[in-house]
Amino acid sequence: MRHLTYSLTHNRRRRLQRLTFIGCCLILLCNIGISTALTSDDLYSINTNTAFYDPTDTCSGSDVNATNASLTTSGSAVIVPPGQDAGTWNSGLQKPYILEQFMIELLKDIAKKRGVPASDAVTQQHVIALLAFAWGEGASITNNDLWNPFNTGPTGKNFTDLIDGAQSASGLESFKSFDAGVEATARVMTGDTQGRLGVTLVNPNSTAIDFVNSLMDFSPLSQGHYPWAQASDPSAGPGVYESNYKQARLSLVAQATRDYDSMASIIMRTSSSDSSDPNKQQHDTSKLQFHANGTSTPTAVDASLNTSCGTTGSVGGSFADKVRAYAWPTYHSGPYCLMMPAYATAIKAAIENKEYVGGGFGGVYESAQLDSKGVPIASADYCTASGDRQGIDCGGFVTRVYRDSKADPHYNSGNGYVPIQYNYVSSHPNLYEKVNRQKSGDLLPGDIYFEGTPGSANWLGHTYLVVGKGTFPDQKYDSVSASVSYSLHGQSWRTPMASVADDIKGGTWYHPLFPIDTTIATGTLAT
Amino acid sequence: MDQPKTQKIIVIVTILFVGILCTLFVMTFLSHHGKAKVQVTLIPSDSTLTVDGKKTKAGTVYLTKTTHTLKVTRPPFSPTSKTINFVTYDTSKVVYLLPSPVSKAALQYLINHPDVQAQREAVGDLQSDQAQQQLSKNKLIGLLPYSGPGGTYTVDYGTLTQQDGTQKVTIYIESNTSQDKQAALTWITNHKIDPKTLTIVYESLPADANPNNGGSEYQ
Repeated sequence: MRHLTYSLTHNRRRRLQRLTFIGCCLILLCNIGISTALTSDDLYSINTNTAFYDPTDTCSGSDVNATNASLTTSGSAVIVPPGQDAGTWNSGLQKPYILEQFMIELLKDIAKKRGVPASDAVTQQHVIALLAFAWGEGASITNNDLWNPFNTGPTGKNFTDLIDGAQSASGLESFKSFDAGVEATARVMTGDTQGRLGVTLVNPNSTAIDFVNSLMDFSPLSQGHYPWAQASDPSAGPGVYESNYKQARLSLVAQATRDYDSMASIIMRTSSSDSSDPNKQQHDTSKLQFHANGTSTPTAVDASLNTSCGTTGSVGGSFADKVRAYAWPTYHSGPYCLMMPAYATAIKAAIENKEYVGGGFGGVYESAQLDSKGVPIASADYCTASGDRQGIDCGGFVTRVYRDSKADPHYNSGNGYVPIQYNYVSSHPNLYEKVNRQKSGDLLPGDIYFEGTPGSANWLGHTYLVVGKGTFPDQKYDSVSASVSYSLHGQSWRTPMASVADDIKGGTWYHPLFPIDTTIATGTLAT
Repeated sequence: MDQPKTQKIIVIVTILFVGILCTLFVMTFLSHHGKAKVQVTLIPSDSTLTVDGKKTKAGTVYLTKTTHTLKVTRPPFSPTSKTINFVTYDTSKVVYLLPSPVSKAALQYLINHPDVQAQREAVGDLQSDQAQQQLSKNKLIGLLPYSGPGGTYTVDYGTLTQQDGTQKVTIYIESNTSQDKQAALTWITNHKIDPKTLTIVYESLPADANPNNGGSEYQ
């Protein structure tokens, strides 16, 4: 790893224009007496250049006083609090330290540097995000970088007060102590190169997946690390590398969510003589503040778990949101004909527009009932009720997700069965590329599976969609599928639902060349 | 014509008829005895079926409990075949045989006959549903992919549909040292799964996988 510098004159000009605009807006807001109405969500979206910003949204419980955040005028779009490059951190903790303690202290330090309450930063989602990221970086477990779980390299900074030994731009260096490691990492994560990470981590509503998205944000707002990231693997194209790297981070988030107690309770090495054998790691679960099932030890944590600001049952417009709106979050064996309400609505609209929906030949099947909170209920349904089954179809579902999410409004423009869908994808090399998939870790959100290969027994008999782990609460699901049936056997009717990727090695795979938005809006999933 | 003679003829004919029926029953019983009763469905239904090279009528087929190759042909589709061991095959499951739509003419046939493609998709979807039921019972793959600390090893899985419709699950362990390989096996064992019961393929880690070697987006 090496430090790269590059000119961002053009980007800086754009940022300056944007910051000037934001500054004017802030002044205007102050003048009308609502200077404190800028929520942490708003700051988050401003800094990450996402559509999350909603000037009418006041639901966040932890607003950031805009006057606490000082905008830099040096061209950096990230809001860097003054003095972020200095200071000390005193956790007051004693050995042995576990990984979770490092993450919590780091979040507290970041909150302090950004001038927000610690409770905004110390959420389990943020701890999971950091734990997953550190796990992939070594986490000071399997290398000799003590108190440096992220391989943090204080690029261009003077960290002599914190580093133990020589400074290394590669990040393979140790810090003097647990607290020195926390402080050094907090400085970097609130600094001008990686500051977008700190911004994400003080938004109480941001998720671990948001953190990964922020990590992989190569927009002009995220200066510095893009060419360096490219340099990490010059043999792969930027898009491919970024996607694979991002998917690996998302897998780690799923792993950290699932195996939280085991990963978070690892005792950090205190000297290079401590074993780096993954089989010999020591654990101390008694110190854990959070647990895999989402519970916490509130007396020990001076931060409360955040509460979602989302609307019950609401979903946004991203690809992942559309999947969550249309598909049940768990697998149900066929026959299962109950549709998620949003999918039933979408199918009715598609039929009116004379679009392909597949499935039965009559009317739309009934949608699920809603509970008192408006959440769809997955009650037992064995396709015995009167009704028809249009839209209960593998290719009909894939078509709807791609079209309705606007990821590809023309998907399956031939409005037909799987062979026609395959013809569409394979005849648009500017939109989709044929890819090789052998293992679950190869799969990327947006991947489209077509059954078999030319000449195989059931070539083009089935299709499904990969959405990535983390789309659904149960981390084992990485795909969504639906299945049709007919009088042929009548047992495999399944409305769209979460699935595990099957026949990975036997299928023909295509991946979209356009971005797939895996951002998930807050909201309550179906039960 | 006297009545006793007529009655005698009726009795003889009845005995002969019953005898023939019994003989047919016994012959059928003997010919089916010890064989697997298999339901074979062809899509399109006017396709031709051969079993071990002999032309056979689709529907209920009795096959000796050994391995047989069932082949389906139907121009303009490409022939396909399934070789199935009927010792272990679950005969409650229908054997679907579908010639492959490789040629443009075959694809055009399916476009012109959407009812046939609908049936093909019903078979594919049924198979997918059976795969989901099988995979949902696999405790290990729900935990995968797993990355050891620092990316020192990874455990992952691949799936492949077999000719009998089941999913073959292969476990992949990537590591660069025997210590890391052992760590991966220990991780599996810690989940109360005996690695000896798994089909495991051992591979080296990709060069850029280990962040200590430079694969990272963070600096």
